[in-house]
Amino acid sequence: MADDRGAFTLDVGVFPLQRLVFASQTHYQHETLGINRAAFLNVIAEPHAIAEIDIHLAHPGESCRIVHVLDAVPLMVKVEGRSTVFPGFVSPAIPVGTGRNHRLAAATVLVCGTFPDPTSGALSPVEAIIDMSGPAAAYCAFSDTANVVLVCHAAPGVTNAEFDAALQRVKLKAAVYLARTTANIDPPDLEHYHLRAVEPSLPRVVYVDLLHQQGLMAHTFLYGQHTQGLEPTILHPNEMLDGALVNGNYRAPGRGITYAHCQNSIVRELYRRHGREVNFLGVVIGRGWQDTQFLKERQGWMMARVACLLGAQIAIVTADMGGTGGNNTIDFMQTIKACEQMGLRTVAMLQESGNPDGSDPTLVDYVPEADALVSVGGVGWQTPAAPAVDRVIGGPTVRPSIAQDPLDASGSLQVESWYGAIWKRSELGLSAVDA
Amino acid sequence: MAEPLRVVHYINAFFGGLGGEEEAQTTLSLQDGALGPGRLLEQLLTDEGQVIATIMCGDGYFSEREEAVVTQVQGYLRDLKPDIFVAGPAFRSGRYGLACGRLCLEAERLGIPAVTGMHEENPGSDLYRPAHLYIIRTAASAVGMQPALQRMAALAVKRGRGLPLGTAAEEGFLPRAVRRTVRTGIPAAVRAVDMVLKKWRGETYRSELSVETFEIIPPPPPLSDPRKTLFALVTESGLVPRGNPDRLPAATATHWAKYAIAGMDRLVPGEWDGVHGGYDNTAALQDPNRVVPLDAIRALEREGLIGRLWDELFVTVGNLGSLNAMKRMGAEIAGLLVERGVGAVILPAT
Amino acid sequence: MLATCLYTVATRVGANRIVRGGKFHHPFGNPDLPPREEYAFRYAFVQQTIRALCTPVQQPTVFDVETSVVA
Repeated sequence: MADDRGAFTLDVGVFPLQRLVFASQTHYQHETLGINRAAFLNVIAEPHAIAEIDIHLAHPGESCRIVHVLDAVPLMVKVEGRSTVFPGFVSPAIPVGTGRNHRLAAATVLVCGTFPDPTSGALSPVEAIIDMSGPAAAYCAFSDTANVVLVCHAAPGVTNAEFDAALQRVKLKAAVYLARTTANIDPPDLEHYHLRAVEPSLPRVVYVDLLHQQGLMAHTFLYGQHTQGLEPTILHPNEMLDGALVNGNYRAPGRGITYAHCQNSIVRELYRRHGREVNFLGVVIGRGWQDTQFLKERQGWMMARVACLLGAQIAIVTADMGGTGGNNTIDFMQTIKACEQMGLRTVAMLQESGNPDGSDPTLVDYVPEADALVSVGGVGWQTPAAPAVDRVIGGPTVRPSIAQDPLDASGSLQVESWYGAIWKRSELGLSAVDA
Repeated sequence: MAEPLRVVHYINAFFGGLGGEEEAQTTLSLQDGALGPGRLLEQLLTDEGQVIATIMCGDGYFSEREEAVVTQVQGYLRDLKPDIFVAGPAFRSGRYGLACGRLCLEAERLGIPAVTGMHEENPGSDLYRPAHLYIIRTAASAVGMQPALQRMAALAVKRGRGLPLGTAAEEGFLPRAVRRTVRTGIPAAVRAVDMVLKKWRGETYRSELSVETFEIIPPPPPLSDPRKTLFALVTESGLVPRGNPDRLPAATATHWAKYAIAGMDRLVPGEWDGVHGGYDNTAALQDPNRVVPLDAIRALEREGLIGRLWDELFVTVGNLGSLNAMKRMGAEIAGLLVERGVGAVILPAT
Repeated sequence: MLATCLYTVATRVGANRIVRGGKFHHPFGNPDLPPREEYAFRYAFVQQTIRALCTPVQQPTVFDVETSVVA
C-alpha cells in the first residue's frame, strides 16, 4: 500500500488558537476565534430532534466543570481536494485522505447532553466530566484546550436514536463551520502526510485497532455508518486524520473520542518514524466486543489475516485505542494471538482494571503471545478528588454511578474516571508497575 | 535515633536446628530472642531492630493443625505486640511457605506489618500473593539465605517505620497483585513502537505487564480400549452432599473431598448442593447430573462402552482458585487415582 | 478430559483434551430442552468425552459435542 504516486497525500495547515469569544462576526484573527452565536446556531441547528443548543466557551485554567460530555471533535475543514472531513456525515461517503485541510490547534467542539429515554445495562451512557483547572484537570482530556461546548436538549417525543443521529450532525457541522474561518488564510504551519516509498529493509508495520461497537450508545462510525457488522478492513492513516472514524460511544468516560481517532497517537508516532525506522503500511480496523466466544476468536483471525494480506511484519494492537476491558479483553487477546501465530511481531497497548488502589487482577484474560504490553495503568486508580468549582456547563447535577444518587455538579467530587482518561494517560506517559 | 523495632520471627523446626525424622512433627513453641537464621536476621537489622522472640513449629505439625496453631500464634502476637513479624525465608519448601504465608496474613490482620521470603514457585507464594502480602523473592535453597534475609530485613524496617516503599522490582518482593501508577515521561505510543522494534530486532525488552504463563503438560496417549478402562469423576464445581460435610469454601479452596457414589444410578436432586461461588447453581440444584453427569456415565457402564466408574467422586471448588493450590490438589488426587488403577478422568468444570 | 464452556482459559492453562458443551452453569445440561432431549444431549456429550479420551492429541484440543475437533 506504500504508494509514492501521491494518491494519499494530505497537507494540514495548523492555526494556533488562544482564545474563544462571542462576537458580532464569526471570524478568526490573531489567534482568537470570534463566534456569532445566532449565525452559528443557524448553521448547526437540528430542530426536529434538538429543541435547544446552549453554546458555552471554556478555557484552560478556568474554575469550570463540564458535565454530561458525550464527545470531543477537532476543529477542521477540508479546503482543497476530494470529499470533506467527516465523510458520510457532512457529505456523501466519498473517500478521504487527500488534499488540504485547515485545523485549529488546541481547540475542540465538545458536545454534551442527556438522552431523553432512560436506559440501563451495557448500552447506557455513563457520566463524563472535564475539570478545566484544579487537581483533576491533569487527568482530564481537553482541560488544556479551548472548548466550544454545545449543550443539546432533546426535542419532545424524540427517541434516543434520533437524538444521537442529530448530535452527530450538530457536532461535526460545528467543527467544520468554525474551522472554515481559516479557509482563506495562509497557515503558519503546514504538516505533510504522505507514506513515501522507503528502504525495503525497514520492518513493515500496521496499526490494528478493534473498534468499540455494540449498538446505540456504543457506536463507532466509519464513513457515516456504524460498524456493527464490520468485517476487518484497511484504512489509510490519512483517512483517520480526515475524520473517517467518528465516535458515538458513551459507555465509559475513559474511552472513544472523535478527537482521539483524528489525532490517533499511534498513527502520529508511526508517521514520525516512517522511512527512518519503520515502513508504516496502514491501519487495520474491525469491530471488537463480539458476542460469542466463536466470534471473538474469529475476529482475531480475521484482523490478522488482513494484516498479513497487507504484508505486515509488525502489528501494534489496541482495542478502542487502549480502552480494552471486560469481555473485550478476550477479543483483544485473540487478535494478538492470531497476529503472532500468523508470523507478526506484536506490541499491544492497554489500560488495566482492578480496584482503585491498584489491587486485584488487572487483566481478565490473557494469551502467552501477549508478551509485549504497554500499559497506561488503571484509569480509576488513585485519581484525585476535585474541589468545588465556580461554573458548571451541562447541567446542575452529575451521577457518576447508578448506585448513587445524583450529586451537585458544582461541589467537590471524587470520580473514578474523568473524561478521556485513557487518551490523556497515554499522552502523558502514565504507566504502572508492580508495587 | 529511634527505638529499635521489636521483631517476632517465625521459623520451622528444621531451620531451628532440630534434625531427625521427627522434626516435622515438632510442637509449636515460643522462645525468647533469635534462633537459627533469626540471628543473622538480627545482625542485618543492626540497631534498627531486635528479634524479641522466635516462634518455631514443625512443618508437618503446622499443616495438620493449621487452625489451632494459628490461634496460638495470634495469642502470642497479641501478648508480644511486635512492630514487625518476619517469617522464613522458606525458599522452595512448600509446607514451610504455606505456613509463613498464613502466619503473615494473620499478623497483618492484627495490624502487624509482616514480611516473608520464598522462591517464586513455592505454593505459599501463589496462594498468598493475591492477599497482597510482601514476599521477598529468594533463591530456591538456603544457599540464598544471606541475600534473602538482607532484603527481608530492609523491607521489614521500612514497613515497621512506615517509610515509603519502592516498587516490587526495587525492594525485591514478588508481584503481590498491587499495581502502582508511575510517570514514565514518555507517551505510550512512543513506548509501544520502541518496545516492538526491540522485540523485532531480538533485543531484550520488558513488558509493562506480565501475567503467569503455564507449563506445557504433555498429553497422555489416547485410551487403547475404553471398555477395559477404569474411569473416575473429578470436579471443581463444588457439588457436595447437602450440608457440605467437608466445609468446601465458595472460593480460593485449598482442600478437596471425596464422596461415595457406589450403587448410585444418578445424583438425586435435594441430596446435593453447589457451593462454588462463581456460578448460578439453580440448574445444578434442579438436576445435579447437569454438572456431574452420573446418570449418563452409568448408562455407558451398563452398555459396556466403558469399563467401570470408580466409586468415589472427587470434589473441590475452582472459583478464584490459586494456581499452586490447584496444582497441589490435582497431584494429590492423581496420586490416589493412579494407585487405584484409574486410567481416565472426566472433569466437569464450571 | 475437561468438560467446560470457557475453553480459552482451559487451553491456556494447558488442559489437553477439552470438550465444550453447555453453559458454564451446567456443562452437561441444557435446561432449555425438555428432559428427554436434555438427557440425550448429556448422553451424547459423555460419549464425546470418551471419544476425546481415545483421540491422540499433540496439544490442548477442543472437541465440540455437535461437531468434531474444533481447534
